[in-house]
Amino acid sequence: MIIARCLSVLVLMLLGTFATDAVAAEHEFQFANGSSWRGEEGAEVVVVFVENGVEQTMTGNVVKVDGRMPYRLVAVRGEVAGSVATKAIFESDIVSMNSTGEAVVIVDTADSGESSDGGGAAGGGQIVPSTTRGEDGFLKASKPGVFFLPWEGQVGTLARHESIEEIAREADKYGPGQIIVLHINSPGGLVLEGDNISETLLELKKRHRVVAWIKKAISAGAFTALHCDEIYFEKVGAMGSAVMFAGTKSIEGAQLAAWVKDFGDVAEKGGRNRIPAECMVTRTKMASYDKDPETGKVTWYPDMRGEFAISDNTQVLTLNADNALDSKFIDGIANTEEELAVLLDLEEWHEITNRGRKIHENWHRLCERCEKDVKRILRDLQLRPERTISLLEELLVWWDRCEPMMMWDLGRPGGSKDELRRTIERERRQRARNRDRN
Amino acid sequence: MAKTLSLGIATTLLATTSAAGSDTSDRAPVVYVIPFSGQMGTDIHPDIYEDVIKDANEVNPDLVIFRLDSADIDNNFHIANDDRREAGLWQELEAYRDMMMDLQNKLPVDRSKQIMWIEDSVGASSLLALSWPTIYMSEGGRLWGIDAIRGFAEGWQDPDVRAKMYAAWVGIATGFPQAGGFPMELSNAMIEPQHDLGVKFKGREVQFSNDLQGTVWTIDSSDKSVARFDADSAEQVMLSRGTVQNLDDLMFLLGYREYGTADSGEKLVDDYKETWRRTFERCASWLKDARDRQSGGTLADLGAAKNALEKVLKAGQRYPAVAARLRQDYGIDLFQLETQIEAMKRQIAEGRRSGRNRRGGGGSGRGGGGLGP
Repeated sequence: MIIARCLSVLVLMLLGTFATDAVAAEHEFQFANGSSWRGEEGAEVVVVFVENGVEQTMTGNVVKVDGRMPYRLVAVRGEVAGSVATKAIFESDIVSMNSTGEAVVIVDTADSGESSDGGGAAGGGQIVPSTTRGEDGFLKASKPGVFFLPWEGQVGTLARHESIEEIAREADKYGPGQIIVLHINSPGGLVLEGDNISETLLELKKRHRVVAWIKKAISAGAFTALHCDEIYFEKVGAMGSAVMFAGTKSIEGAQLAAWVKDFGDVAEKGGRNRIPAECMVTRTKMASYDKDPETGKVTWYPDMRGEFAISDNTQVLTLNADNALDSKFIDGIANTEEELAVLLDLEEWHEITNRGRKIHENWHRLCERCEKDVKRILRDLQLRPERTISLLEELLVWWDRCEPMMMWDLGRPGGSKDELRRTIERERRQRARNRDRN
Repeated sequence: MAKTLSLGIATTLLATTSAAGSDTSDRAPVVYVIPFSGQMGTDIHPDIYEDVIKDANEVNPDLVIFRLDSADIDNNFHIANDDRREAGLWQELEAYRDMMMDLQNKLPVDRSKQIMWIEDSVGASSLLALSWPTIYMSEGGRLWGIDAIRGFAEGWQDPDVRAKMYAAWVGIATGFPQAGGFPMELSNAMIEPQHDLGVKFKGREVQFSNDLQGTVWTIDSSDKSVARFDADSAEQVMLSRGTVQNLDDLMFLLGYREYGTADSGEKLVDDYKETWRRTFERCASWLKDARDRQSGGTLADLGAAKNALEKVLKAGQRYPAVAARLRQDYGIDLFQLETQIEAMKRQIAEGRRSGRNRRGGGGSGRGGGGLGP
């Protein structure tokens, strides 16, 4: 059966090769995961690509391939997100592309082309085991496991609520009550994004068990972790330091009071005491606790009267593994995935899909590329004034592909999207005038 | 890479006859030594320890010993004659943390078989030192606290923002002694100067305290400096399990009278250090070449200067340690260097074009002349 399929695939591929020999416009692409596609315009393809960090699949015909490597643009006409459209996709955004008839294994759950129930390691190209669908319409994993999402970097640019929403959609396919693990390693970031994250997590917690596993959760990272049903630390974990500031000045007055209240409220929604949480936000708050030696029950105080000091009014609180666990602010310490599995009451560490790792990997790769490329564009703008228009257009493209990086991390290089458009127009007019003059 | 095993005998007097006729289960345990020596952030860099982890897994030793010798300040610290360029780099604190965790979790032996042997540790390396629970020290060795963390937040004027940044860095740095299983009181005093450190004893158990009241020994009573240990004081408060002179000595204290050593890890690290340092030295010479030739003013000079800078760029791209030192010692950022090279290329191209144009112009001029009268 497999041999027959392979042979038919081979025949199809050979036919494809012969056919393309007759047509001049053949194109070849090599993708980041090592796969490749070769074919001509008009070929019918299934293309998996990333747009704004979200992976999408489209089936259609290659209309046109334009530009030069590595900035080729592939126009595909076909169905995407339920409607027929022509989509221009940058080759660097393509995860995989297969001519229909190639060896594409369609698995019930793996509509994104990723491995499901595959044990968790990142990386494509694995053999995809089938996942069954239950009578209730939900997919069934072969054994209990988690949906794992690495959540790293600056909140709002690298670590975003969109990633959480995406892993939630994946978990939803398996019905309510799934375990979603956010592996948090973030220095904090945008308060604006904090609101989106809050909304997303509060909604998500209604359906699933949301777990924070912390390496570093500073500021907005701590705010995110506080929402979760359970919090685990790595032994090196740190959580807190959430003083909000704009420019170089910390907030004060009513704004600070509201932020302190928000932090406390969120901690309580996560089933934790608000006193230590509030100490993460301002130096003016204090926290200490007593611990019943028999029952282990912890009593918190908003001052220093407790036996164990957590934060006095000269410092901002960052919890570490020891004091966080001893005060029962967190649920446990796990250095490895296997140790976390034990704390989660799982027989072993098992990732139901590797979707979360893919979401993380794709977005981080895109952001990295954006940063690198924009730096190059800005340099070329100085060195190659004759290319100004095309370089500004490249900047515009990056706004479409990776807006959070352009907006926050890179500080709107060349101006906002609108300003860029105007600059391009101005430049064009100027050139036209120069031509007329000459 | 070829692995070599050499047999070390802790002491001939104690050598037993057990090797004779023994089967494989009786063989002397193999020790894999991983050096952490030199400058933190260059000599001690995650890049090379990834290779070491791979190698150790191939060797599959019974015991791993981390030999730490990284001090920013010389023993004669009152002379203050240390080369500040060789002081540990702090910018990569989180990279050190991840490197440490990789070593703890990915080596073929668990943490109970991972030993930290401190020959000398002053500066960022002390964070690594405190990341392993089983510590031995060399005679005369130092384990000084980490002064630099307090400086991380000093650039912030707003006291609340400064407090935030300070708390965040202290939190991250504290993760290292937490990984080693050391109490918060110890890490407080090793990281934050304002904390005192004393010890009291409860039976055989040592209790560290930041409140000197009721303590038996005072380790640090200054609010201006972090706690400092030498081999003796560290052993007395049981931070170090023993003071040793060499590897044989250490193995003897660990209860091994015979052992074999796998030295491929040491070779890997030594080679790496030698190579990046040699490359960095060459960079100094290439940079000088570039400066000299650039002042020449001709296109050929410019081309030669560009070539020299390209070599520097390539070296920086190949070795993160070289890139770090280029940044620190010369203020050279690789991207800026790349930009400079691009600008030079353009200048050369324009120079050639205008040279050709001049020649072409002359030709047509002559032609024009011919066509004239």
